[in-house]
Amino acid sequence: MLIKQNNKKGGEKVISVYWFIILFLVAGAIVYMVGSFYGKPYDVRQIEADLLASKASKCVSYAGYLNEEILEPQFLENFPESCAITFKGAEERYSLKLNLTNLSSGERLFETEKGNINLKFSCGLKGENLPFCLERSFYVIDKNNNQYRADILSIVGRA
Amino acid sequence: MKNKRAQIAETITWIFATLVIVAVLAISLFASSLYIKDSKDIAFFKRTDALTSKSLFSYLLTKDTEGSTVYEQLKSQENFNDFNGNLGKTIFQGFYEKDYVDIWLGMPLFPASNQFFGKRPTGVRPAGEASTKSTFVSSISEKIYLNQDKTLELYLSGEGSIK
Repeated sequence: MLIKQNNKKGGEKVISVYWFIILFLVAGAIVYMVGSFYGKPYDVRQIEADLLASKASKCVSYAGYLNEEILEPQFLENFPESCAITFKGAEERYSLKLNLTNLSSGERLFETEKGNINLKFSCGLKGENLPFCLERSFYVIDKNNNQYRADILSIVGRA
Repeated sequence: MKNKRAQIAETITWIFATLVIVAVLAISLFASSLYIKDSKDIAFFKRTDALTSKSLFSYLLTKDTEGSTVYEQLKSQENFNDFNGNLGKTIFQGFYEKDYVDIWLGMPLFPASNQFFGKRPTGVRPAGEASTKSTFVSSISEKIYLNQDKTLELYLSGEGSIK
């Protein structure tokens, strides 16, 4: 761009346009950086619920056989701590339901539910701030070859 | 100092410039608040599934009426019999149908099909079928070695994306 040296006023005006362009660039960069650093927290509830279900399954079944300790009332009373799971400090966010059913007779051996039991009422509903519910099952046998179905419902609410 | 016209012009320029700066900052704050509103979802597909592994181990330890475990039966027989085939179907298709698109249990080398689970899925989506991103299907393969030439495989595939 050619600007005559004797016309300094025009030169200043051209430079001020560049300053405004730089201002827009800086503002845009700030928006992008703030958004990528603070914005959009990662939603890891699905992973949390999956880990919770895996941890509970390890407690129910060991090396393919049913951990028969879980049938004792004391074990169920202390659940989920007896499975090395604790909700301390975040009881409102988590819920874990576990039940064991005999596959051949259909008899339910036990059912236990700990954490925030109200969370389950939101399962099946659609909404961004609703808790994430994961329902999984697995097969397990005891030493007497009795076959069972273990059902786990792990629910993780929004932080 | 006699001529104040230049000073007045510069002041007006800066008043206008200040308004523009405030407007730009206000727009950027508004844009930031819109940008950070939603949460990011993590699309993931597990490479292992603890619950299906547990089911598979228990399945192999299950004994028939003669006291022979499924593991022993599959080791000695060419393919599934009625007992272990139907039990496998009850467990894997019954329990995991809602979690996975394809569920297959069998010997992948020979014979790569059986009457209970059919032919082993290839892991490649057929042409023309609606796909998410790639033609390959995210899958979990759990293998149990029965003997040198024989392997039992539990193949599970879903729709998630690998991260």
